[in-house]
Amino acid sequence: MMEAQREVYKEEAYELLGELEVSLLALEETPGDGELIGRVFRALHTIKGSGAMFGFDEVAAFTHEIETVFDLVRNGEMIVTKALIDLTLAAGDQIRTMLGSSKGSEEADRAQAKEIIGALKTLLSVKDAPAPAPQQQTLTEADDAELAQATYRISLRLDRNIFAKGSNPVLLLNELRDLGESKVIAHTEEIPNLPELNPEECFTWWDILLTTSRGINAIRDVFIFVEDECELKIDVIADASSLEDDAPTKRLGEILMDRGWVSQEDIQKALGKQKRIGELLVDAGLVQPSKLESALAEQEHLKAVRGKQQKEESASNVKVPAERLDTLVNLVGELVTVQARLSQTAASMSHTDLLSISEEVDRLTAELRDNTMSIRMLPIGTTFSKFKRLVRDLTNELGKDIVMVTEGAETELDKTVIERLNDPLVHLIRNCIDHGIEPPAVRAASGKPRQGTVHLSAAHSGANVLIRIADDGAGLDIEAIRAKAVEKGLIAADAQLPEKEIFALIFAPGFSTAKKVTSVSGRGVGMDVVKRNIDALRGSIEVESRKGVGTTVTLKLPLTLAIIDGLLVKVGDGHFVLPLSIVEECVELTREDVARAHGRHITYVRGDIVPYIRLRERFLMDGDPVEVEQVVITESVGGKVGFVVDKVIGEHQTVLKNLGRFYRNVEGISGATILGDGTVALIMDIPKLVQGVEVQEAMVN
Amino acid sequence: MPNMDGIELIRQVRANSSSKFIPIVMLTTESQMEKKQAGKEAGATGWIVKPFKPEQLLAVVKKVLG
Repeated sequence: MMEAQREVYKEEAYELLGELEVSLLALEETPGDGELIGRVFRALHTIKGSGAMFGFDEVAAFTHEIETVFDLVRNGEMIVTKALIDLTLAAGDQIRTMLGSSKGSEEADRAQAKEIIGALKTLLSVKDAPAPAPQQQTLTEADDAELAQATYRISLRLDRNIFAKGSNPVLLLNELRDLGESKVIAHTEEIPNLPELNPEECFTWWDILLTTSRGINAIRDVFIFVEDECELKIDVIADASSLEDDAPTKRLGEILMDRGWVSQEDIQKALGKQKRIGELLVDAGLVQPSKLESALAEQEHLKAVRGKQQKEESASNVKVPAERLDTLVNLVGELVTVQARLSQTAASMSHTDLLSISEEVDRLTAELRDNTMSIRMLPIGTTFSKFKRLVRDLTNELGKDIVMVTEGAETELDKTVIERLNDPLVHLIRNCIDHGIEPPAVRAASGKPRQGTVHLSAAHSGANVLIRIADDGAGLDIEAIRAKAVEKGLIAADAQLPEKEIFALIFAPGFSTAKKVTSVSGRGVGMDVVKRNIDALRGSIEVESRKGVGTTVTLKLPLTLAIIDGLLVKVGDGHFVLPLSIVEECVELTREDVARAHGRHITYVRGDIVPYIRLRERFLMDGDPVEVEQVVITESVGGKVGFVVDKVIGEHQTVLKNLGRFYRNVEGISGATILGDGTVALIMDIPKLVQGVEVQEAMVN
Repeated sequence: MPNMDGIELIRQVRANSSSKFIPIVMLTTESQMEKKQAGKEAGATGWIVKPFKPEQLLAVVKKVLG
């Protein structure tokens, strides 16, 4: 019993240590922040208190010493210095080690603990001037803080000739959407019938409901160029106070009345009958349907905003061991596979009742799948804070001056992807710090700021997440890489390679151009491991660099590794799956189309030329193509590419399975999935396939 | 510009059916408010007032192009 509780304590303590570290690093940037100091203190206090309760006496005693120091800081009797942060970070590591060793701490650790406490005591003895009132700084910063959230009703009627001024109303609406949660209702009654319609004029007007904390001026700014050519009305319909109180959401009638569209009597009259008020008003011709829709939308929007706020307030979390989640995902995977079988069987029996049941199960499975996947999604920010510590430690060790800026910490990624991303990111960031960014003196000499920056950002892009690690260092030395590659026999001495491919060489095994090996990097084992790790995650790496300006490494990763939406196609007897996220459309390819292209692998789609790859040829499959083939058009970074298949079967929820060891290195295939009837479909790795064909073409030419 | 001033240019661009919907941003000085009005009437989409910072230009271009 006690043992289980001790485990729980350890879990909690590790979490608190993480929090402690984040707060300390933030505190280093804003040393006077009273709230951060409080957070550090509370973390230490809890570690100490619960530690003593569960028999971690040594941890408790040690933490007590540090807590004492922060008590002084909290009371303004001591100021936060770099030395203090350094020591406290070291103390955090010490607590972690103590927790890790089962029987209290070992001798060596004890010496270390003594050392830390000794250093802290020295700090205490030299504390002199009391801290400059720690609260003040936070107050001034609060001035820039966002305004309170409010909901606005924006009524926008643009000048009819607005298009002739090059303005695009959609852009304005999009800009509003960027300000916060919004709902746009278009009023289209005024659009004339087709014979009278002048398509170059704007007849639509809009009601926009927007909940934002940016204030009314930000909204007005959106319309800065059109304010003279539009009727714009902005009303606050709910602000922070009205959202907080318990008053019920406004009724439809009240909203319509607020807008002056109906009178009190209209509503009373309408209420006299026993029908829904909205329908009644429309039936009576008092309100146009779109106005009613707009008012209903307002009601809904307010409800949603308030609901969300309440949810945020009472948001509670449930802690679940990771294995249980993994089991859940596996089970959902099995369910999806069985469901595919059910659909197939139902379809082949053409039993109407069974079909409708199967469709319902299909829908539920898809929902269950999405839900399960979202449970596994974690914000990538947790790893980001770890890297901040890494950067700080390495910077000190190497005598450089570097800060790390992070962006997009809230970007969510599958838990396993985040876990497996850790090592590659550590390598890449180390590389930036060790090879990339120059020592301060060198930077100053070349006219750069002494302090280097490592920029770490994450962002969603379709079904992928892009992670960028950028430094403003020396950049890659293209000639050195080329020379090294020739020396290692990776490329021929006279090879003409585009810049991008030369940069890609740094991912070759055993490649490193660093002249001296430091403890940080330079052994040339890093980058190829990074590449392998990212490949294993079905991701890709791209390097951009300019000499003297910096290097950017972009990792492109799939959102999830377990189940994707795919498009199932057939070539001969083989089934293949293309990730649905990159499929644009499917078109037919007749014999005449082929003849018209004179042997070139291109087809025309609405006037555009789209090159295609014949899967039958690519995978060296036997048999003749069918009379009318299908081209699945995919969109990727390099543009559109078609894949010619015999038959497009349809959407398929694809549970990804890894290929066995023998097949793992097959190019153009990233995995497999099991179909309803038990046969195996291969999942195509589109970028690799395209790349493969490009390389082949280049060699032919 | 030789032959034509900016406002005339806007007018001619707007008169051409293949370019009439293209966003046009004009650059004016603080003292030329009536010029701004004339430009708008000719069909300018937006404007920037001199002196301006590169970020302002980028923001305006982004605004009119989306």
